[in-house]
Amino acid sequence: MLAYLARRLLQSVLVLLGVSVIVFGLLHLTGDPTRLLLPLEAREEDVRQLRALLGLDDPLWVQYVRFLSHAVRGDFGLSFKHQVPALGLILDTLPATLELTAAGLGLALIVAVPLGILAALRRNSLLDAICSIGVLVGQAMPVYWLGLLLIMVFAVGLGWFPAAGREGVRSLVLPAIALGAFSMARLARLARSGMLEVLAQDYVRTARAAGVRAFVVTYKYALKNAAIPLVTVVGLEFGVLLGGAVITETIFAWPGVGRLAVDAIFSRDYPLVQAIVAVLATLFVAINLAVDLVYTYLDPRIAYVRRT
Amino acid sequence: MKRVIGPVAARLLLSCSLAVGPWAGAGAWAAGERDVTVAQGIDAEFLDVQMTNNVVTLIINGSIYDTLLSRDKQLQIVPRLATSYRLVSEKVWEVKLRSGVKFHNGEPFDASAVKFSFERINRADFKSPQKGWFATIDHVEVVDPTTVRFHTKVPDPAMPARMTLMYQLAPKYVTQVGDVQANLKPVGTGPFKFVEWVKNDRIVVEANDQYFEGKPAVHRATWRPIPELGARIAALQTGQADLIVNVPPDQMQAVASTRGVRIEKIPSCRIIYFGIAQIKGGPLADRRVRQALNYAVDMQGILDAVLLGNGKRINSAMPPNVWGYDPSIPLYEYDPKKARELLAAAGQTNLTLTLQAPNGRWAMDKDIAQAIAGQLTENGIKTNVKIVGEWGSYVRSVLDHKTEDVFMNGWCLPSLEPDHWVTPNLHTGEPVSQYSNPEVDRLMEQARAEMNAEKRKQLYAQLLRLIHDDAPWIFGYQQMDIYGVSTRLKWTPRGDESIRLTEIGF
Repeated sequence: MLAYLARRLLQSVLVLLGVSVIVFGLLHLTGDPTRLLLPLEAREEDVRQLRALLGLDDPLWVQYVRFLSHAVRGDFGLSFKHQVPALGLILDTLPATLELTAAGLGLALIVAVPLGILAALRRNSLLDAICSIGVLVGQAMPVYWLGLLLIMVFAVGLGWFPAAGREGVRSLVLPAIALGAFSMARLARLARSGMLEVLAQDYVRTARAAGVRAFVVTYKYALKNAAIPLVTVVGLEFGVLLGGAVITETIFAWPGVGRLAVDAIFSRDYPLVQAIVAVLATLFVAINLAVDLVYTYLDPRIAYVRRT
Repeated sequence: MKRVIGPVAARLLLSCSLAVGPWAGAGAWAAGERDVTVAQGIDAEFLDVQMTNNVVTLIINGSIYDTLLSRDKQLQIVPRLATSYRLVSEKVWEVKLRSGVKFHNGEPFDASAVKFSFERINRADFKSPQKGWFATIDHVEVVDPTTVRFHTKVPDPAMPARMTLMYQLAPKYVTQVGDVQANLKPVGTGPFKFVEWVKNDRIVVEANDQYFEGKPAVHRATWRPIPELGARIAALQTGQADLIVNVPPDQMQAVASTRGVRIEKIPSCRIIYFGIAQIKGGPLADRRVRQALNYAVDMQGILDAVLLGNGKRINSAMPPNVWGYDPSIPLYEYDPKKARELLAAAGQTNLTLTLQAPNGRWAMDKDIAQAIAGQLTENGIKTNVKIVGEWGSYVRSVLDHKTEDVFMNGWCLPSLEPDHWVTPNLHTGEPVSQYSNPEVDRLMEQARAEMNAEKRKQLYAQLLRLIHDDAPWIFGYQQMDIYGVSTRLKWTPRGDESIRLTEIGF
């Protein structure tokens, strides 16, 4: 097990390294940020001075090595635009994004999983049909459109929730629904299909034949096994939601990392973009590693250790 | 099994609706009667006012800090922290300061604050984008606690305008807490005191009861950044915001028809023009071709159709909001026949051009550009449109002089100083300017240094007429600043894009 863990950790580091190289390269391909940081009337010498000050005159590989050597110590430099440590900015705004992502995922799980299971148990019923349609709509609806629709109906129309901002639990509801809708659909579909697959297995039929109570069959035998693929997907969904948070945060004026990222990209704020990517990538890799470890508890058949 | 699951699900649904229930029907949000929420598109970049030249940031900072001079509703320069000024000699301005004014932390405002504030911007290690605003000032001399003298490098008639941008910081406070804290916990002399800043969520300020111009009517104000237009309008409609900015022309009707909300609008100081890259040479270097471009476009028709009339045509390089504007200069009439005649005279009957525009930077920018291109094509000048969606790239193309033949641009500076309109956009060699005309340059330089107000005005009238005739641009229009306001507020907009909390009543 330890060997597996060590191997996975090494892989994670390589992944993060690769991500940082790609993002670094892409960023610098987009062009010179100094022009955007200075007013239109700035003289050439001001521009040149700023470039030197920001260290943008050095060759790319030098800049990358400098970035990396500082990054491993947690120093991502000062945000060009905000002139404060980039990491600090992110840590300030990360809780808001995690709150939104957790709410979205939580909502998705609470709604989708029972729904999917129910649909599997009552296959080909009206509930099953509604579930299927719901899944289709949920996966087809763009977050952007759904968000505005929710604002129109529930904020402006009914006045139940605020249209924007982050103030109290009430303001979390609409953004969480908008963000979680896609995951809801996907998880419902997976729950349903996973459950159906498990219900068709021999041991379920055997259990039923042996007279085990229906309740026990469903929860003890079927559900636990159907949960395995779900757990993996939840880990991936977390990453998807982190990305989708960008749009949701913009629509609902939610003060999270997503908005920070968009703003940073448009202002070519290199240190901030790199820091955000590093933090989010680390988070994503860590969660997926955790998910893979949880896997082994759920399904003893899956072993990462070579059995003799 | 059905008997088990049914009740479970039902109980789940019930508890959910019980949770939602009490929230339903919550109408007005918790806010005092004299509290105001203003929603703009972005958050303040800094609350250290000297670190920014961004309009939205300056608006927010303007509630906390004061300037030496200010502009009233008619955009005339009036006293603020300075009570009077006079020219001692051509390069020395003596300014009398208001006495008895205190910063929010109790520190007294005096001449040393003025000196400190000026010198801070020019510190080599201080990355202020405002350096260029005060580049003509050599040094500040403290004469006595209520008198300072600005010594300029060259005769500078724009000094009063510059003084409307001289935000005053508290020397002891800033020196004590450092630049970083001064940005997070700002202290000024302004009508409102800083309360809190939750990045990207809100900035809250509270009335300064000791404000020297009188206690503000507004008790507490919250500045909210809501980037998404739909959400911003929704915030106004739900009462979550009392004042919102940048309502597009096509949403005016929808907003105005909401109960408790009205639309306010005013012609902005921001002008939109279509620069012609004359320095590229070729057909564009011929004034007849450039004039033809102006005659070939029905600008008013386009404004009516695309912006629903929410744009006011400009006759030259400055809008009426800026001193020096000459109303007697005519607008280019829509005259396709004359356009063709001019093109024929210039030998350019088969002209092809490319026009570049951004997408989403200004109201309906892409659509206006396409309308113009369509009209030019109709009238004998085949015009292609290139939309550069990403603003960063667009700015770079303009500043690097790597634009297409015609490029859309917007312009407004908070100084409202005439030289700041013409020089950056039309002087030879300036980053934004792709035009070169020695006579125009000469007039600009002359007007820039002319200390006599009457003579200066005449020079600008002359300059603007020359610019009109030489047509370095397809002259566009003044934008309309359109705001959505709650009927709870008594407020009308200003022609300098600014929002002053002190101008809000109930």
